[in-house]
Amino acid sequence: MTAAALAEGGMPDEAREVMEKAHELARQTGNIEPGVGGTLKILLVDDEEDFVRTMAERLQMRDLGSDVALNGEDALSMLEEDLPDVMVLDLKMPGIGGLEVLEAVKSRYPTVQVIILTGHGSEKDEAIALRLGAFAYLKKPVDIQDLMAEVRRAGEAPSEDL
Amino acid sequence: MTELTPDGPVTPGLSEGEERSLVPGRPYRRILLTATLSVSFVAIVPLIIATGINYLQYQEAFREEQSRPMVRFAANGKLALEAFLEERTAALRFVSQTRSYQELTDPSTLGEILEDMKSSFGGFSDLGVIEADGTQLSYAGPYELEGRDYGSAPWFREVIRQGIHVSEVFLGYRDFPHFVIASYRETGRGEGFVLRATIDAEYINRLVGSLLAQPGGDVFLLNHQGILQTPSRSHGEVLTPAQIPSLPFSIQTELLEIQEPELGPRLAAYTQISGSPFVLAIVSPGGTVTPGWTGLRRNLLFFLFGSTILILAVVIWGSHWMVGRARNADIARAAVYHRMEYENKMAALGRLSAGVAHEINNPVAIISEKAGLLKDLLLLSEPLPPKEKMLDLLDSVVRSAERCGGITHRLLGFAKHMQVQTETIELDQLLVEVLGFLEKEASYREIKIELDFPEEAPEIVSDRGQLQQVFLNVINNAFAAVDDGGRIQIGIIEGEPGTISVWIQDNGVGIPEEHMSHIFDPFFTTKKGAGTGLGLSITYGIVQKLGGDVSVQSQVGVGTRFILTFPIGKPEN
Repeated sequence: MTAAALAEGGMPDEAREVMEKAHELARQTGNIEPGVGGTLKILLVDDEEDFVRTMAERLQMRDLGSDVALNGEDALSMLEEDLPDVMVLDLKMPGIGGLEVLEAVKSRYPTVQVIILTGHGSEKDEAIALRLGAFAYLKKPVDIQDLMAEVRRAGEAPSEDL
Repeated sequence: MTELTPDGPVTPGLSEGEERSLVPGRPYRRILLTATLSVSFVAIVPLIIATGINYLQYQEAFREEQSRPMVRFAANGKLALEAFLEERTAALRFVSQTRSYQELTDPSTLGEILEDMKSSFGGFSDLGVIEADGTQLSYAGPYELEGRDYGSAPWFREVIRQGIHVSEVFLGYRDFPHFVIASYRETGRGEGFVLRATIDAEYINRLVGSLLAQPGGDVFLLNHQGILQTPSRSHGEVLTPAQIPSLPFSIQTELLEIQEPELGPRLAAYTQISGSPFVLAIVSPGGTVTPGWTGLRRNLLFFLFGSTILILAVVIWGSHWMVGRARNADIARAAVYHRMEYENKMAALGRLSAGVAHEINNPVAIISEKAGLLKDLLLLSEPLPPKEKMLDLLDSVVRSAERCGGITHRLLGFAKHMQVQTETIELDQLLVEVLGFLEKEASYREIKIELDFPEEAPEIVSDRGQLQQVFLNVINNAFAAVDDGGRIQIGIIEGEPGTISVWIQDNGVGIPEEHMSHIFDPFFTTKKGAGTGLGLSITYGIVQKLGGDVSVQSQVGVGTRFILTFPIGKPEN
């Protein structure tokens, strides 16, 4: 086991091998290939641009392509053009807040799975979000592995259940 | 929590010093004094007046009782003396009218007449006939007075003028106290003679002395010049000025309280003996105050003294009790207020802490992501990523860490000022600091905050922590009042000399008129279940404590404006 693998926190060997293979392929072709997560389309919504861009970059490195919206209005207008599979949504944002966006998304586009990722949420917010149909509720700062796991779970979840 | 109060523990109770400062002794001492004096005054003054009136009435009654026998004595004495003089005057006039000039000038006949008068009336010692020119023509009696000239004697001139005359007591030629009764008989035009009888002073002395019914008193005759006409026991010798105040002429019996040299106060009765120059004076044997009166007076004074002591004791005890209760109530209220204020502060701090924790999460999340990406790059990319990319990421980490630091410092700055202390404060900076806590909420809710500060930074000497709490309370209210996208304006204006005002205006829901008079009441709230109703009440209390004032203008649906006015200098408190 390499030092890098140790640093990754005990990532399963197969996963690491698959990842490295995928990256090699990506470097060779210079194209972004569908990663291990399959062809999931992700929309990240957060008003902290520094945060959301970095996260997008990290997901990209794990072969999860994502779009970024910096507020609720942008997010809703982006949904009109193209529906993502999974939406990662902040709660506190200027203008339309996260809970309102969640409500709108769930009523208009029930197939989109929404994961709440917030630094402000209280237990009350969590309960409301889950009642409104959020797939999961995560708190900042979040481990990228945990987030990816939730995203994958959400992507695989059948929307009819919700 | 201890980290938030670096200057020492903040307790909900009152320290000894705070209790003293909240409940200074002086006003209570003043209230105590005022209450004691006023209640004592209204209780004791009527008592003294009532007792005084009683005293005077009793004294009057006792004096009346004492003076009645004196008046009676004087009246009896007057009657006796007047009868004595009347008899003798009438006898003399009878002799002078019925006997002829020849009979009267005959010494033997005159002697017989004298003997008759002596035996019938008594008191006569001699008899004489005097010519109108004052020469004594005939005389019957024990002295050799024939041929004496009375032309210049005062009694002689009086008798010529009045027809009948009773003289004062004098010594005369015989050098012995006596007085005369004289009667003038006119025999023709401008002619006539005087019949004169001498009354032995001893005779009237006995008569006056017999009036003395009670032992120890004094009875004597005076003339109108206050010269004794009869000897007295203790007021001087005959024909010397009496040691007693003389009285202005009066027909009625007069009573006078006199001061005797050794015996003390006495009552004296004076009465005029008509038809004579005599005034009868009677001095009471006892003091003016009888033993009964002395006892009653002692009882009255004892009653007054005892009642006064009792009233004073009850009043002083009652005042102490009431003021003590008031003081305890004030202490209790101050303690409750202090506790409320503390809880409001802690609640505000709790809200802030929660907000700050959330706010810190953002930069922490960024740090986490940046660090994660850096790690990703180091682990997942071959070759190593460019140096610029890594520095860029690290710069971002440093910036976010600084952001965290800024937030924590702001919170620490707020907590640090929980201790009461005055310092010079720039109000605009303080307001900007307070607004720092609310920036995020304002941006989430798209609330526009407009500042209208004068260019010269206004400085005041006040308590930073208290001011922070006041502004936080009022601005929080403004945030609660406005809808998302609302507007809050904050300005500083100089008010009256020595004061400065901060106004905070929102375009929120406004305060209904019926709530206006209650907004500063403790526990009054319209936020059902969400508010304690303490915020504005505590704000008001703090502003008062800082020597300032709060006023509110509001219109439902238009907005509310709070104006907080503070003294520029050091508050008195």
